[in-house]
This record gives sequence, structure tokens and C-alpha cells, in this order.
Amino acid sequence: MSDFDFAPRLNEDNPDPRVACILALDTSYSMFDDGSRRFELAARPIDELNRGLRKFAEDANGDDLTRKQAEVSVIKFGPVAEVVVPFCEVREFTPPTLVAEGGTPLGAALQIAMSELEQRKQQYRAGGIEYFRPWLIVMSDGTPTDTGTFETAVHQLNDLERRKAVAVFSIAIGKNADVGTLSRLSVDRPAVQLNDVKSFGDFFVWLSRSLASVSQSDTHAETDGQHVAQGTQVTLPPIDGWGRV
Amino acid sequence: MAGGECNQLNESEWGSAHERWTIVGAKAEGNSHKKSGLPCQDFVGWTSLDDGTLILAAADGAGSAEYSEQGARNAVEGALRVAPLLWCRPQMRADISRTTQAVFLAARLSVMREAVRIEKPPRSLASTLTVAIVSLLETCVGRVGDGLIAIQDGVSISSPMRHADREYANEASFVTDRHWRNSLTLAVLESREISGIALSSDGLRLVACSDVRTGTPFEPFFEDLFKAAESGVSEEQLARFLESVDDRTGDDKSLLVAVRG
Repeated sequence: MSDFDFAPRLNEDNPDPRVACILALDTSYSMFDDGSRRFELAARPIDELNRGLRKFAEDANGDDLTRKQAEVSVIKFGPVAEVVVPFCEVREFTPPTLVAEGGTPLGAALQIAMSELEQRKQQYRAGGIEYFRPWLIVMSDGTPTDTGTFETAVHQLNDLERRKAVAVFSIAIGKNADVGTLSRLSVDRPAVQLNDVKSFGDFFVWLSRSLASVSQSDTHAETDGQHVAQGTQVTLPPIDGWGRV
Repeated sequence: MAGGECNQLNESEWGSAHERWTIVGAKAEGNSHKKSGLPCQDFVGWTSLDDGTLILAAADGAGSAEYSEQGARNAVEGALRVAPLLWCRPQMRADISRTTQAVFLAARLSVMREAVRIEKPPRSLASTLTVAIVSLLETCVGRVGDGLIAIQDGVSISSPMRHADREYANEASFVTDRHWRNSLTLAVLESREISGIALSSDGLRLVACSDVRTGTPFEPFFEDLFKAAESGVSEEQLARFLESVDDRTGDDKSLLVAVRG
């Protein structure tokens, strides 16, 4: 044995474990023009958002594990809520170019997101694929316009998060964002305000890095009071490069 | 190790009790850990007693727990320090399952004591633990957490237990959990049927399991591992393998193998 490397046969057939991430993005008209006439053409939130999505695709594909484990879906809301990118592996993710128009049907977007997540989990289970707790990222610069739907959806989403079915991250864009309402989306953490319109890129790099560290995190198998209070137990990189609470 | 009482074990009680085992173990830091500046949080160890009883222990510190490297080390060292003392007592030797449970309690207390010593909450030293006590007649394997176990009975390779059903890939139980006893799984087997035992942390699960949900061993991997141990594979060779294998998890990896002869 002394001269040779130990090289046992390995199982090649197990699929990579997955972490599903849904991006629910506000594409209401204010993301193009919030009426303040402050924006130079190049710095409209919708443009920065699109740029940020490209940065995300690039950064996520730069990490070996993230490339194989992360799955992304993009839902937009404004004028309607719809899936623009159904779930795909990050290495196949083509960032969409989003256009801003209409109101803010955030409630409908949340419902679509919850339904997509449940469906994805079922697909994982059917395929014998391991998965980590999925993430839902919501970014909005205003306040929901479909209030009735929103109330029902938030209630359901809070319930899911309490049961550890999903981890919700809520991001408020710009000075007109309804931070109070956006903070209702998660029971574990308040909404984070994007520092400024230039911070989308930094946010998406942070997201990519955070997804990379998911496999090092732990989800507690038992409901032990002190641990439930601790939230996700994922050690995330600091947010101060792009946001503030 | 053991005191006077153990040295007076009756030879006839055990026959020629000196089974020979070859044991080798190694660990390697996971790529994800290296990237985030975490140390290797796996730990393995073993000891053999005068009567030929072998005790193996493997622990995997929780990735999100800052001091889990110390947690894993203390869990293993606590188990190995106390097991021989327990095994000295005839009533403990007569109930290997009870002994194993007591070993887990001792391991947990060792971690808790370390937490007090460094003034950190026990959760920050969280670690899984797998222990195998291989005596002449009976073997008991105990597990808290998601470590891998493979036992070769001369013909086939299998695990004596399956993982609990859990939704997420990173869900685990730890010896520091308040309800750790509910998570402790034990299996008692006849030693004479066992030609090899291997313990591993879950870092290797994608390449060493045929079913990651249940923890069922991938037989070719463990066949090769047991053969290598029989041929005298060194810790360095095992470590090199662990460093270079594409595990696809980025986790810390560790292996502890014992084969007869």
C-alpha cells in the first residue's frame, strides 16, 4: 500500500444538494421614475436592478459549489405578478431585462412565490434530491397596491417562515419605500434599506456569497426554544456595504 | 486508563480475548471552511482496552457554531476517557447498550464543561457524535447526528441504522441539544460477524452513500476502504485522499476505519 495513493471507487450518481432562491422584484412604474426627477438616465432603479441581476449571475457562477447548488427563479410584480424566470440552476441562469410599469401587486407575487417554492420542494423530494431551506428575496420601492391579497399572503408567508419552510429577506428601495409594511414580510428579520440606487450590485454579490455559505449552516432538527429565537443560524456576511436596517 | 479492578479480569471469562484490530483515521478541512477561515471541525479518535475491547469515536462540529472544533474534540475525548472507566464494571459490561448511553452522557458533559470554561453558550460548541464499542461478544454503535456508519460482516456492507427523516440537508442533532436523548440511536450487533467498521462525517456523503437520505453506504467505496486498511494504508494516505477528493459538499471530511487482523 505504501507507494500508491488511496483511490477508492466513489459514487458518481448522487445529485448535488440544492438551495432554491426566489427573487420577487418590484417592476412598478416608480422603479423607472419616482416623480422626483432626481435620476440621471443611467441611474434609474430598474436599470441598476437589471445590472445587479447580471452581476449576480456572474458572481454566483464564479463559485464552484454555488454554481452547482443554487437555483434561481425571478418573479416580477408590476403591472401584474408573474414568473419571468422559472427555476433553473444558476449556471443556466440568463438574467432577464426588466421593464418598469404599472402598480405594485406584491400580494399576488408572494402567492406565486409560495406556490413555486412548494412545487420545487415536491420535485426535489420526488427526485431524491437533498435541499436546504429555500430563500425568498423581496425587493420593493413602494407599498403594495393589492391590499386584500397582500394581507392574506403575508399571513400565510409568516406562518411558513415560523415553521422554517422558507427564509424571507425583505429589501426596501429608495426613500418612498414602505419600510413598515415590507418589514411585515419576515418574522425573523426587519426589512433592510438599500443604501442608494448604486447598491444593487453590492446587494447581489452579497446574495451570491450568502448562498455559497448555506451548506455550512445548520438547521436545527428540534424545536428548542432558544434556537428558534436565533433565526436561520446561517452566518451571513455583513450587509453594511449595501444596506442598513 | 483502567484501575486495579480491570486488571483482575478472569481470563476464562473472555477466552483469549486479544483480538487484533488495525485502526486508522484521518481528517481534512472542507473547502467551504477554508474559504471562510473556519478551522476543521471534525474530530476522530479511538482507544483499545486490556481485554481487547475497541472504542471508536467520531464527531462533526456544527458549521455555524463558532467553537464547534472544541466541541467535537471534547465530545470524542470525553467519550474515550470515560468509556474505559465504565467498562471496568461487570454490570456495565453486561449491558453494552446502557454503557454506550452513559458514554454519550459523558461526552456531552465534557462539551458542556468546556463551554463553561471558555465562557461561551453550549450551542456554540455544538457537535454530532458517533461511538462504537466493539467488545469480544457484542458491539454497540450509538449516534447523535448525521455521521455515516458502515459495517462489513465479511459478506456485505451496511449501516445498522438509518437517518431520521428530516426535510433539509443541513438538519442535524447535536450532543449539546437539550433533547439529545431523543436523538440518540443505538444498535447492538454480534461482534463475531463484524470484520470491519468505518465511521465518517457527512462531508463524504455524496460520494460514499448510495442513498444520502438514509445514509446507506455505497459498498464499493467501503470495500476499497476496508481492503486498504487491511493492507496497511497510512493516516497520511487517507488524509491525502480526503484533501483531494471532490466531495461536492465543501464540508470537513473525516474517516475512522477498524478492520480485524
